[in-house]
Amino acid sequence: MFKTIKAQIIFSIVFSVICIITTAILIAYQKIDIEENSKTGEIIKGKDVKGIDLNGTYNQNDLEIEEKSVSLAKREIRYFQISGLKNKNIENKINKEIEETALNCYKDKIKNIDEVVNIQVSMWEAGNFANTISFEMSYYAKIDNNEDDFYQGVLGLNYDLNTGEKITIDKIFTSDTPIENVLRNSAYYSLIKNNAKENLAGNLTISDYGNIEDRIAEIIHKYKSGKIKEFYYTPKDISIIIDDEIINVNMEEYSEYIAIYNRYISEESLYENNDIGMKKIYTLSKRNNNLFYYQNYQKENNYFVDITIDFQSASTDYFAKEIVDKKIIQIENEIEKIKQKTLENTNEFYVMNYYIIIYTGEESSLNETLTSYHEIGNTYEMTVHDFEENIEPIIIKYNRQQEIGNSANYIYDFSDMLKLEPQSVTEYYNPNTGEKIVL
Amino acid sequence: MQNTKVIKVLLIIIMILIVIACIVAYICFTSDITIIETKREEILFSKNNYPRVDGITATLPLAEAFEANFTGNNIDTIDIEYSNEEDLYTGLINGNTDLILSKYPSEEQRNLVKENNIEIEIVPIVKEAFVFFVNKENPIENLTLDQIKNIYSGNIINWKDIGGEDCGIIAYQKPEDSYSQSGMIELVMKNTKMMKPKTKTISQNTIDIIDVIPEYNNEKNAIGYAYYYYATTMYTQNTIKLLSIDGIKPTYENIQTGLYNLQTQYYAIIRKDENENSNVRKLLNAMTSKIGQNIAKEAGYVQNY
Repeated sequence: MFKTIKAQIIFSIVFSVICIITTAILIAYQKIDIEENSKTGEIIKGKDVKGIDLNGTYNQNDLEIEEKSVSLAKREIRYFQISGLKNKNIENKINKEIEETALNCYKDKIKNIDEVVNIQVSMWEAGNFANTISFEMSYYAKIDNNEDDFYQGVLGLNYDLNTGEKITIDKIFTSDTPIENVLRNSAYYSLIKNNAKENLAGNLTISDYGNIEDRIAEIIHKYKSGKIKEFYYTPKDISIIIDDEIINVNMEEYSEYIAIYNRYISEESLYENNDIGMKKIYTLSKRNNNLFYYQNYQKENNYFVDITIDFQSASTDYFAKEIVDKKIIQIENEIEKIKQKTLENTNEFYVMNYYIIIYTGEESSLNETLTSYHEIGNTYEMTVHDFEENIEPIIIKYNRQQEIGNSANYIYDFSDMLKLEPQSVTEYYNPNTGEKIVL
Repeated sequence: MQNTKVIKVLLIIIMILIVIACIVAYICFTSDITIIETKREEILFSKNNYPRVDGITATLPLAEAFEANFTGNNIDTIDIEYSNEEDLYTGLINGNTDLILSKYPSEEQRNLVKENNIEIEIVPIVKEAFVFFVNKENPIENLTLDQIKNIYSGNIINWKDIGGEDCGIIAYQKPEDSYSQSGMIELVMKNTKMMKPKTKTISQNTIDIIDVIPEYNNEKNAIGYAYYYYATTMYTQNTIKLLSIDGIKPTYENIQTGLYNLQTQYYAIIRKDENENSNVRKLLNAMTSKIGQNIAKEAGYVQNY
């Protein structure tokens, strides 16, 4: 192309000049960018994962969680083991880590077992959804028989079930989270609540109010230095453990910045079975699927079913069990009928909502053992539009209001909207004869 | 023919060299300019002979940065635990503390050391300013000190009265006895009485409720205050805007030069009888040295020297 030496030299000079100018422009541009960022004090990042969809739902994992118990000298250690993952290497890795943590978690504080009377280690399943699992592990050790002298500690175990790797706290949040603002506000109200005490007049007062600002500065400094390692989360909130104090981050308040509902979702199921965990639970609400004898929760395009049977009688309570089993068949037949109806008319929506409690015990007024059957609830018919606009917000609100750990009855009151209240039925039976008793 | 070949090869080599030089220049000038400028350390101590440092929480990151740099340890491995503020000088008196990083000792603290027949040496280490901030969307850039006083005494309640939009001012305060609230009263309000702060009711559990002074929530019409170090570390920077006071912006440079004059300092306090060659004096000198001041700047503080 450049046949003469002159042409080649000119080309080389032009090429070199272009290179130098391009480099200079790139450097200048980059420097401006660095300076801008250092002025604002942080690198501006986009959102890497979506936050929480406030009208959305999530699925519980299809995992079995079993409690194991180990009794050693002066130690009672209870911990969980998971099963049901397709990838057994990941399952084993997580189980091994949980077991090792449970056996050793107190050793940082309690160097010599002779220092204490006994040690109890226990676990609580905080979150089990969206391909992640979060446990709170705690230990309590009495130093002597005086109840005021003890060691205690709380830690969090959080896993990504795709890889078996531990989840770090930054992964709970989206990349654009104003983390200082979230931590500062959450820490402020948590510290106030943690330190509020009742005075002699019975009113709550706050001790160490003046030190709260310093404590928050310390917490944010620890976060920024990567020194906050312990936390756990439920579908409603994140509990960050700092120096024996728990800072609670309310997910609803910072929903746009909470990534845990979406970060670890995978296209393929990670589980051997797909019917263990509850599905389509409203975000920011927690449902326990193993508290009741029977629970049927379904959210589909044309129907919503939320039915619970609370039955905790002895296994020899054959009469009550017969009632329960019959009721379950009846409920499932009803659901089938609703499914058929919605196939015929896709504009219709049905809500089937019942709480049933069956109990055999002594009826004090009669001094006699009776089986009581109490049912509350109703089946409601409406349009899909009415459900979405008026009824679903009531269901979402009720679910979110439930405290974690409480066994709520999940009976919704739509009377303001539908002019129809939940119906209540109470019946008593003689468990030996099956005879209905009128009280 | 031979010459032409040589020239061709030379030209190709020159072009390749220029491309390499450009790439190297780009990497050098862009990647870690700040790191090259700020990463300086001087190992003066081992972990064992490093003096025992105590202080107020606002200086904790400073103390950790000094220890990490002067002992050559990673900052992640440094975990200093300060004692309570009221016990600060007790430690110095009874020999459990070698150096305190704190605000200027109060009269009560000065009396305490005097009563124990101890003389102290107070050396300023870094500067600290008192700043006001608003949501970054708030059009207000500057307020006078009088306007600030009027806002916080309750005389100005709408932004339109001071050149802003027609909306009420949410003037956040800090809890009584907090470090920032004391700063607000001592440096800004002085003899002007602050209005009673609005409270927010929160529930401790389902039954017990409590009225608290709400924490700054960065609403579009909010204003808050804090010390510069707190404001730049505890608040997400691209969500707030630091206000100029009487036309002076609280920039790093303006605080360092003293142009922004709502300011104070953090000091190192040691016993006056410390030996000239002691580790404590060695640390004190290191803190005020150029390297020490660079460490302070890197940790987010305003250099004093």
